[in-house]
Amino acid sequence: MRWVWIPLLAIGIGMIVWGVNLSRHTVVEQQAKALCTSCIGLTVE
Amino acid sequence: MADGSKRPPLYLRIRLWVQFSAAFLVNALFLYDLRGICVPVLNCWACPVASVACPMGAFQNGVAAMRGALLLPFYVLGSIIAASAIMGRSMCGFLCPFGLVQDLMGKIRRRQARMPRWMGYSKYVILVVLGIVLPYLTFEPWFCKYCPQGALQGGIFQPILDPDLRAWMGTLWYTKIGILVAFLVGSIFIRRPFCHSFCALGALFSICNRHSLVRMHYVREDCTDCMWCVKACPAGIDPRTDLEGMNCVACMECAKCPFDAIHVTTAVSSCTVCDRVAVKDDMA
Repeated sequence: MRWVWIPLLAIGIGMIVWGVNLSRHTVVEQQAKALCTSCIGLTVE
Repeated sequence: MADGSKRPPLYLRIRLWVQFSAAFLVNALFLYDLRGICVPVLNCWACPVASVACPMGAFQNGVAAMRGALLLPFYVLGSIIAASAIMGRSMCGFLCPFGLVQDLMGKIRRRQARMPRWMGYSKYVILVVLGIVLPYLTFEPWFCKYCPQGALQGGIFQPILDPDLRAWMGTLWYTKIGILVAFLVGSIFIRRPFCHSFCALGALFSICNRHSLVRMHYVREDCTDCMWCVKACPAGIDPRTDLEGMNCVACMECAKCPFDAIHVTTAVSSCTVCDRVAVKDDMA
């Protein structure tokens, strides 16, 4: 089990690259720049 | 065996400074352009000065979007897996701002209680229910709704800065503030209660805690059962039995052991202490 971190790291980096390829980071950026009402605890109707 | 007079290495002595620096960097407004990057700590992106994305918030939004697009939140999950493959749960011990808040509150009272070990499983229930199932079904980030870090960073400061938001403060806001107060007060009496039993992000990190690059070793042969590590542990675990376990935040405080029975190593480097133990075993 000593080397499990290597495939985990490879999978993680692969998923980041795949996500960036699908422009998921821009989606995350849009979410981060929008005001998260759930985070603040506001009840928006 | 060590004589108990050894000085711990520098990286163990500067943990508090690392925590403060990390809390500053993830809330440094001049780094605002990095908001698309998921930094693997529980730092609310609703904070007016937050400079990075909260992985737990992004994960829940990704799970909610999964229902429509049938696409796993690769980017967010990849960030979490890559970080935990290298550091395990050290992000909780060294970088998490809410971990820092709990550590500081814990300094108020010298004698603190510990959460029972079985309570640590509740964070996995919270991850599955509030972090995955409910966001998938309702398209809403349910963990964020009750996250005390969101209340601390966003819930307090946003309504102060924007008076228009105060009209929307209702039951949920008061519940959130109540949860925050409960954890802040609880941290005075109990060691890191949120990290131990309620943090969904910590639950994700803990899966890789025993399989990361950065590792910790407990050497039974050098242990005198002085309980120094048990008293020092901010997470309230017994490092002799639960080191790198689901409740260990890998803060490495126990690695300051005066008898060198617990030490930090990596998965790639050979451990001199363990090699010594192995040689001793061979000779026996």
